Amino acid sequence: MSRRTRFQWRYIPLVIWALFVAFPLYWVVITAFKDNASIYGGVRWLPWVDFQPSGEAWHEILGGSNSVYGPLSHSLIIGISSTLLALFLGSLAGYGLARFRLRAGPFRNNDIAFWIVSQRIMPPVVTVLAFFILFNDLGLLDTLLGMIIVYTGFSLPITVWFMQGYFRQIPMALEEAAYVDGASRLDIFLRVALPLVTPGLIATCLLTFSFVWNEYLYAVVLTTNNATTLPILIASQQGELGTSWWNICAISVISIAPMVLIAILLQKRLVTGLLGGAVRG
Amino acid sequence: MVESPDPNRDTVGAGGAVPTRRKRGRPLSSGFAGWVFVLPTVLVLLALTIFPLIFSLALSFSNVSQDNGLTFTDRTLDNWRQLLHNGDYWQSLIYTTEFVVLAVIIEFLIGFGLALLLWRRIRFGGFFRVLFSIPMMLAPVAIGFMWRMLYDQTNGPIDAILSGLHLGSVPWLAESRSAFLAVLIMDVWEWTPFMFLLLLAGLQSLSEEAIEAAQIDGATGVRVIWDIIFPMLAPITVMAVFLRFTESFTIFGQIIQLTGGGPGTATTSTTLYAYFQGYQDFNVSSGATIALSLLVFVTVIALMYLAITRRLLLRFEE
Repeated sequence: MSRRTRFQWRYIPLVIWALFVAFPLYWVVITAFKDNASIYGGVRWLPWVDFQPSGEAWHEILGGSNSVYGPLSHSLIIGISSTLLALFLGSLAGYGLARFRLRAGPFRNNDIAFWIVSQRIMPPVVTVLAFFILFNDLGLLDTLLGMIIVYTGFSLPITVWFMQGYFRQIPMALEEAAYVDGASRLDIFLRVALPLVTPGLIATCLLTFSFVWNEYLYAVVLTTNNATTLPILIASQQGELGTSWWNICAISVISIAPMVLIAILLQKRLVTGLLGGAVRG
Repeated sequence: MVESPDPNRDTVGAGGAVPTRRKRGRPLSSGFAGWVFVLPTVLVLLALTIFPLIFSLALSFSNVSQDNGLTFTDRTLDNWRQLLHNGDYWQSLIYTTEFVVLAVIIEFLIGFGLALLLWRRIRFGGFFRVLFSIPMMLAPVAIGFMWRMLYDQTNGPIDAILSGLHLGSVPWLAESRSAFLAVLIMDVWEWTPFMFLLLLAGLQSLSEEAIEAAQIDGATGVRVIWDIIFPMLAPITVMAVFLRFTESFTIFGQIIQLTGGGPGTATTSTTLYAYFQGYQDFNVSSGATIALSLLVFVTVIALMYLAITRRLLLRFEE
């Protein structure tokens, strides 16, 4: 009983950090509902108290001249397509690495897995200029297809890493039983193993989508108009019309909201996936 | 326990599952069928990362630029030679390194502290954990813009708070030292969650017994953390720092939105510099050279880091 009444000092740093984390997010959301006067007429903190919320920004980006629909639809098409492609290839490879004994010359499973993951260490700027020249020749610059191709390669290492971790966590008994029953390896993969890792598959899917959704460097170099994504729209707001803070904030809210949802949904899976099943809790 | 990426080990999964599986003659271990699963990914990666890498290398030994119509010219060492004498380039590399080292250390310390606070079940623990993990999921350009707004000297809240506390006004983005700090604070905001989540997972996988035994022996909080928890967390720490370290070097979207690399070139990270050279000025070859040098630099540091930490880990295990 005494424990409950005692003041918990640990809440002080926790609350301080929580405020530090939450305040910028709060600021973006309220700024998306400010108009010219409430932004440039001094600092306003609370809606309805020291400024009147305005829907001006939302009118402009949802219906007006500065529409969000193009980049939003590009982001969705590119994000979903490349996520699904990377997930398809990545679960196959993850399964192969987790369940088979592979050899390529002196290289074994862990060498191959390491090679695949190490692609992730490569700074994107190393390949982006090569893609720029290649896509220029192939006519893939500023196309949805080009971006889907680039982002599939970009996401693949991490999906392989995650999926092999998830496959290693499930027991092999069911797959062996199916094998004894005469099922083909592809059948075992699709009907036995894959359903068992569904939660991991969903987590990997959400995380991969978030990488593609947020990516900026490839998008800014390889797109100009027909395949621009939301981050490009956010970045391009500056300069053109001065800086219309409320617009950028409204677009940022559209970009951020699904990611906050994913962060909430993923929770613990995020970590177990990242560590490739290496942490057993 | 954590498996660090170790190319010399030949076991699948925990506890060397492959050899035992083989002894028992398990049916799924034949190699050829495995390649059917893995080969598509290997081919895609060869096409989408290894080929562009080689292409990039070719660019760096050529002179592809807007002036030359973006076509290849004679082979040349000029790009690499010029890089050695390019003060802006070295400055960007020094800036990036300073930034990365400081950011990773601060993020680790805060992340570890927060993980310790939320390790044991407490009320609202779940709420804090979710909230703390949000920033790392957001778009870098959105984060960069968000902080630019916050740092704004006339209409931003940070200065309003500082002057409200009579601490004066800070020209955040206008002076190089404060701009360095501004980028650092933004990065700490964005990436402390990563350290926090990994270390929390590490803490939760520790055996309670060793810690309780130490506490019964009369060890104080700090000693328990330093002597018991820290060595047990060493593998996951090594991995978390490795991942953050290599990825921090590629910082781009946040900085380009927050400072645009300025004032002057004070916060121009190497990726930013390669982008300015290769894309904005269309000196593609020069940009590719800078990018490749960054890859070499990061790889060398990563290998050194892995070599050093492997020794440290062995010492911890003794």
